[in-house]
Amino acid sequence: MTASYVIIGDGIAGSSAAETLREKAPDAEITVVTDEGEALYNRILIKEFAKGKLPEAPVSIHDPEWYDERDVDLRLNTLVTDVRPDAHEIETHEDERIGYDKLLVAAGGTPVQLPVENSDADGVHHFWTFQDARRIKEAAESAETGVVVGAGLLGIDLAAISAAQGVDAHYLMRGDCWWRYALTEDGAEIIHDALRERGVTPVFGSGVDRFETDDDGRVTAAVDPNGDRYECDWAGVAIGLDFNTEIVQGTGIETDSGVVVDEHMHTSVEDVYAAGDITRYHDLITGELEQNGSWGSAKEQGSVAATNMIEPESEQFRWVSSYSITHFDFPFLSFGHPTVGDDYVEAKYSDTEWRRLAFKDGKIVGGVLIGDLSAQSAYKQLMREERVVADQKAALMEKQVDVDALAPAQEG
Amino acid sequence: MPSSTDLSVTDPGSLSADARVRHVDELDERAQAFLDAARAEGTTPDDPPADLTPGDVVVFTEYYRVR
Repeated sequence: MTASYVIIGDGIAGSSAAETLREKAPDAEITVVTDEGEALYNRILIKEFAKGKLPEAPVSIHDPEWYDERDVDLRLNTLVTDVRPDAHEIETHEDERIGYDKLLVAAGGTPVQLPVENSDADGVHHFWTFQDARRIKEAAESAETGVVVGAGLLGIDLAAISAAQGVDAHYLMRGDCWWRYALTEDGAEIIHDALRERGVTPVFGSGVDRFETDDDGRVTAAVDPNGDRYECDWAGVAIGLDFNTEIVQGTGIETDSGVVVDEHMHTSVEDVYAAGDITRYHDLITGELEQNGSWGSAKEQGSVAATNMIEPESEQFRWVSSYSITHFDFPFLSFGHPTVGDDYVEAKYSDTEWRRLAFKDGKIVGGVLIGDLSAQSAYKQLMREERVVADQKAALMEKQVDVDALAPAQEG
Repeated sequence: MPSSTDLSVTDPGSLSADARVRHVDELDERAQAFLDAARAEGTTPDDPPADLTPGDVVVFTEYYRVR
């Protein structure tokens, strides 16, 4: 009997899974269901499109022919309203029931809405999809002043879009620096300076208490908790993602701010797998449940999940992620999990070069490098090998890190 | 594997609609390190990785075209 696989989500995790399933199971029925109106696109590059640097075409990855050539049934604009693991079926908003032998939940996340007055006003944008990017680009092209909220990896994309589109913007942050959970002020100041050079002014100890609008309901200003008012005809909000786990509520599939999976991407319910941003996965390197929003991680998870959907427990997900910011003329790399350490070391080498490592139980679990990425391979190797190296911080903070010169590999 | 590879900064405004554009995070580790070394040194190192295909454009600190 022909096996049937259903994938919820056509992002890089879901699409990677579909590709792997077709490669390994030539005769299987494969259905991909997505609530978006277009097939896989490059979520990393939509910011380049919104900045006005790239046209639309290079951002699209798959066209309909890709699915036809692989005999993958792609259902666009289709919302999954119910998942029934006992019956091995899902239901869509059109009351269609689609049966499966194995299910992959790769539904990703949705931007968190800022819970303040007028956060739904015209001119206030959230940024996640290609369609969001189209709206943001169009609005930013005619905007003069802006406000950005969300002092993390998504918010800085909005700040960069403001800068590229010539919008004079204020970046309102609650804390003392950008990405305060991963950087110290020494490292963050490099980012702050770069933003200022591009017409984006960081504001600390701030945030948004409410937006103000005109009589037509268009945003005109943001007021922060201190009462300071920032005029804006364009606002970008990026305060995090809510993971789309509502479809698995009540199914017995374990969730914990995401769908919990083991190292085979298997959920707590038989024949149901998950991959991509939505997962809280058992990380074989840190030994903890982790989440990761990087493209490479999602792609690999999709492939690993698919392999295990065909042959259970045949492949493990073991990965050191990379996340780069490419808005500036200096490189920025975050790898692994830079915010979950119980110990840290950092060093500043110049006004534009800084790095920080996070350790857990003496082993590198992540880090951030700004300006000089030459040590990235060494750090990733040490993390992958789970070497206890926190007692050699000075050597790790040398400009050039020689893995072979460190103390022999130990098991913690 | 390309026998030789050159990386040069390119203007994104000059890209054709069918240009194959990738972000540095889509590259494998070896290609990422190679690209960064080229950026830092201003010259393209030897022994190019297979993940960089001639004609590709990679978004990094600049838009880099692989030749």
